[in-house]
This record gives sequence, structure tokens and C-alpha cells, in this order.
Amino acid sequence: MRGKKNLMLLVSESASKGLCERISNSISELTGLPIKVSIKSRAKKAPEEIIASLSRNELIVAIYSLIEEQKTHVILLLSVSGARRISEILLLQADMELSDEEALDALREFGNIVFGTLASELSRKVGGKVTYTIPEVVIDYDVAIIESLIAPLAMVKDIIEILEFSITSGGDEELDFDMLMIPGDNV
Amino acid sequence: MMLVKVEKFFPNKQMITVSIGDYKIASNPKILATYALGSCVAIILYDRFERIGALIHAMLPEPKISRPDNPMKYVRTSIPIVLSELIKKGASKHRLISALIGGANVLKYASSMNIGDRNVKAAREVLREKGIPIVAEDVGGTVSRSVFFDLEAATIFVTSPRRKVLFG
Repeated sequence: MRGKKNLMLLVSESASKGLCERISNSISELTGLPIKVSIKSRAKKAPEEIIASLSRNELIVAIYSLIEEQKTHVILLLSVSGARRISEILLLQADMELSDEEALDALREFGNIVFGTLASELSRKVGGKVTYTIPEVVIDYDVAIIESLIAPLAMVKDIIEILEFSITSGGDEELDFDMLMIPGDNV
Repeated sequence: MMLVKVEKFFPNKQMITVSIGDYKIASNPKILATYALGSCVAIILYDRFERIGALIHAMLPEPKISRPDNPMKYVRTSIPIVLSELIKKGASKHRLISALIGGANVLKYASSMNIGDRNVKAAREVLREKGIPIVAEDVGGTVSRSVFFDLEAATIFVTSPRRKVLFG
């Protein structure tokens, strides 16, 4: 079953370059900003270590989706100001008053573009269908979000594999954020 | 013991913070606190007469093995240990009351295993087995909770983040 491969294997050091480039290009096209996506870390750690290392006890905006065939969780973690800026760019209304509902719609769409690009690139590597759930946007403390992702895996695994991407916009501090990939059928 | 939901909490006495998979015991006058419970659950045990209490921040309902490395991570293994510690420090089992906070499902698609619900269920079961009444609960839902237990006032203050923070 090629489609059931652990996505971490597919996003190997050598194969990740193309994936990062595709995602960079998608976000750059969407925002009009020079975006660089790179792999920040690839780690196998105890669940508590992952929660501690990724959490700063800050209110953040998370855009989340599940890659269904491989049961892989993918999540974008943005600062509130970064999420606000992205929604302003996407709605091209920086000078107008935006509502939270409009901003959340824009962020869902942003998630669609990023996860869609990721799914299409992974589909090329897998040679089969890669589908993802409708992006869910959640505003909450980072520790609560990360813990909610990790806890179900911690029920069955002592060590969890996680891939962390860094997404930077070259100069615009507000648009630096992270993306995590966590396979559900973990190590 | 009373539970009050507040927008913000401003501590007026020494605060002791409890992290994930840990617990703390304190006597009056202090505040026991834990932050941003998602699917995790906070279990508060309190002796009204001695004004001594404990706060546990458990992540999962039960361990996969009988002797886990960190029993404080699990609801089923943490409560008996903390109960025994509280009694050693002067609390009376017959006077103990409890409260449960947390067990939310913050991410819809990640909550297929219902960890939050299972944590709450396990805590209720263990407390019933131990004969400790649950006098206050704030569980479930989709937002995280931070907990501040004022031992002097026997009051639990619970905060949750505002969801409309992008443009108001």
C-alpha cells in the first residue's frame, strides 16, 4: 500500500527541497512577499518534551488539517499579529475594518493553499491520492493546541516523531511562523 | 469550594505553578495554578478544615503499563499518590473534597480518541472509588482553561482565552 507510507519517509532530507520550494512559491504568490520555507528540525522525542519545546504559553492562531490517507497531522502556528497580517493581505483591506469572521475565512483559505500544495506534492511522491480535511482555525494557547495534538499519540507511543518547518518572509517579522507535521501512525 | 469563571485573574498572594504531568501541595495562604489545559485535566483536592490542598495536572487517563516512569502524567495513577501525600501532610481523607477542570477538545479532527472526555471520566471514577466528593466541575467544550486555586478563599478561578482577538 504505497499510499499508507509514513510521510516522514517521503519528506526525507533530499526530497524535502522540492516540497519546501513548492510551498514557498504558493505562499509567495498568494501574499506577494518573498517567502522561504525550510525544515527547522526533525526529532523523535517523548510527548512531554515535544509539548515543552514547542510551547511558550502564548496565545496563537493555529490552522490545522489532517492528511487523511496517512493520518498525518499538519498544523501552521502563527502569532496573532502574523495571522492578522495574513488575513489583511489576503483580503486586500488593510485600511478597512475587518471582522474576525472574515479573517478566519481568509486564514482557512490560506490553510487550503498551503495544505493543498503539500498534498499535491506528496501525492506526486506517493503516486496516489492524498486528501486533507477542511482546515480548522483555532485561537488558543500554544500549549493547549500542541497538547491536544500530542495526547492521542501519547496514549499509544512513548516516543513521537515530529517534523518542524520554518516559514519566514525575509524582513517582515510578523510573517514568520512554523508548520508541524506529525504522523498519526507514529514511530 | 467555589468555582468562578473570570476574564482575567490577578494573584494577590504567592502562586505555585503546576506543569503538565506534575502536582503540588500547598497550605493557606497560597494559590495553586496551572495554565492552558487543553485535553489535560486539573484535579483539585482540598481539606476545608486544615486548608491544605493539591493540584494535579494530568495528561492521559491511564498508563499503558502498570509502573509508568511518571505516574503523575496519568489520572488513574496520580490521584492515589497525591491523596497519600496530602494525608501525610495533615489532611483528613474524610474531609477531602475535589474539583475537576479541563478535558476540552480544542482541535476537532485531532480529538477522535476523546482524550479530554476520557480524562474526565477516569478522574470521576477514581474519586468515586476513593469516596471523595466532586463539588465543582468545569469540563469539556472547545477552549483551553487556566486554573487558579486560592486556598484561603477556597475558590477556584478559571480563565479561558477570548476567541475574538484578531479584529474584535
